[in-house]
Amino acid sequence: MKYLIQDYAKALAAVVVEARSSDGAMIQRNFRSLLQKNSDEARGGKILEATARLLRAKQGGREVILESARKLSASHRQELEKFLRPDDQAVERVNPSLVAGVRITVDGEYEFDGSLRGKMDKIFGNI
Amino acid sequence: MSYEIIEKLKQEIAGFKDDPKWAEVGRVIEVGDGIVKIIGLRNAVSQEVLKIETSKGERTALALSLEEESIGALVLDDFLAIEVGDTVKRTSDVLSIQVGEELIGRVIDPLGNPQDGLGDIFPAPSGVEGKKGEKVQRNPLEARAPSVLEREGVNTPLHTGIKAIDAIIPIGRGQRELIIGDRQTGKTAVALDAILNQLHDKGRRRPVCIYVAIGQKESKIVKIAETLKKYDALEYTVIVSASASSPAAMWYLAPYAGCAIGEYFRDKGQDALIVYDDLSKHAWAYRQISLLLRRPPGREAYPGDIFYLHSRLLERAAKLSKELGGGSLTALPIVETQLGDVTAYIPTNIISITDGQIFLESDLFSQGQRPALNVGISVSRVGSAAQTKAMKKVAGKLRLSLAQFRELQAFVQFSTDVDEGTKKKILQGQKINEILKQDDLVPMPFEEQVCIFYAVLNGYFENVAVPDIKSTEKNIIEHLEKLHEEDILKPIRETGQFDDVLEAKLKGALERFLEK
Repeated sequence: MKYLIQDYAKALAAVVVEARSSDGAMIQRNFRSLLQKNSDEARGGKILEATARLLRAKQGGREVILESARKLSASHRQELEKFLRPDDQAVERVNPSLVAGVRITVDGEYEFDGSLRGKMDKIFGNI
Repeated sequence: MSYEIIEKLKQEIAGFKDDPKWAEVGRVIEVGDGIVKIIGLRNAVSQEVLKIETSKGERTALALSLEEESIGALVLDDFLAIEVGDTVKRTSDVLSIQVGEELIGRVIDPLGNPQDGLGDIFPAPSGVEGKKGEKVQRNPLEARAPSVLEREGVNTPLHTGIKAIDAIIPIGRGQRELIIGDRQTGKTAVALDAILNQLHDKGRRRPVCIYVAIGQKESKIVKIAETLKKYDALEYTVIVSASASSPAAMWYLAPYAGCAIGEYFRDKGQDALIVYDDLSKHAWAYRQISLLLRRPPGREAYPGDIFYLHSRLLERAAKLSKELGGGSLTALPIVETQLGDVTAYIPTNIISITDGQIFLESDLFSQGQRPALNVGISVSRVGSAAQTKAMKKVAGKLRLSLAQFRELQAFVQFSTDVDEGTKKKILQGQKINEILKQDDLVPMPFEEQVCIFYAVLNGYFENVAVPDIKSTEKNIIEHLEKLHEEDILKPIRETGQFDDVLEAKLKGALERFLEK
């Protein structure tokens, strides 16, 4: 039977939550051998991503990617951090293709596009 | 030209309202052969239009398979520009096509884009006044078929102008009649004649015709468009073209797009006729898409929902009740068989969905019987209720004579020594067969058919040799058109009746013709 990524992630997250700090290496080893047994090594990366998302959600946190055309200044960062929750994991990326402005992505599922590139695409897409 | 472009840009920039919002997004994780796999977009619905942001601009896709971990979507544009990792956004719209009177006389693709080089179809954007003062609208490609209460029985004939069909396998408005046969047996010709005849069938409302070409050669589509134009039939016809060179997505969507156009006219209380040419290729396209989406293959590698693919399409052809305007959508799906095998998967499916079938045989075609219609196994399950009284009066006798002829024909092959009565019946059968022969693109108005059938069944061709039947038929028609248009042809055409008075008049006219 083929297990879903979400099922693997739920099981791994439950084990991680219940485990003691000294069990880390053992969990890692067992998880790797389970994937080998089920020939699911190729899905390992996605399973870990989904597990991290579940663990974050359990604590009320999200993965927030802040993309900007240039490196954020301290004042801009401060301004953006106002929107973050305490358990959010924020990642900053510089993406010159945005031209100006910022683009915020939450958990890879929701996006706020405040970039100049997005606006230009909207204008010229209508022509 | 550059001035126009600059003006357009200026207008867009001046009118741009910035309203950034949180949007649900997904990512492309797999691309191939017009199919993409997307993760994310957990709230996307089936048949929703998705926008993929690629490095070469926005591409459109249609959500087809909603799975637990991903979405399988059908790319509607150029899929070569899409790369793994591209962002996908929802539009919250299901796939639809803009419909209106403006479509008549045009050749479009399944997304409603013009293909005939005649420019934009709808000059004004959707929702505003169209050129004829009516509001233009968008119809979804996938729509619910009318319920039992919304329908009424088929009660109005749809004359095809083909003698064998109008007399023996009559089609009613709102019916689904399958045209089935091997390649090169004249399936498209039958459908084309049905479209052309609507110009001559003056006793009834003229239906809007929709010809849907699925996987046909571009040259064939051009030829069909030219033929329709030549005979003034493009004035009431729309051609939806998904040619052989277009991707499988277009082949899959074409019948639904045509149906959405037909529904526009049906729901307005008008009549529409739609030809799906052909559904075998449509099934191939859906099989290709389904296999690429990794849906489990079933019989002949078709997916499990192949029956539903066609049943939901053909159920939308209906005769609506008077409360809903009394419009109708008649469907003539075409299916190509391989070596006359009607027991293959797709032919049996569609035979069971439709209200009858017109079976064309390659043997008959090579024997010179055109249309190569096998009267024995062709049926129309509901059409007789819609047949005019005039045609009913002559067709009953015609069916009986043909059935007797078929029985005796087999017998004659073994013995030449037959009695006079049998010989007479065989000769009569041969004459009827000759009368049923008809060239393509020359549909015959139904009132003329009634007169010819009356003549052959009542012995007016008794002294005519079989090879002279065609010329005599032509002469009778010319005689009636010249001298009896007002007293015989017009009343039959307008009332659909063939009472004793008219019968006496026709008798007199035929006798006078024979005397000459």
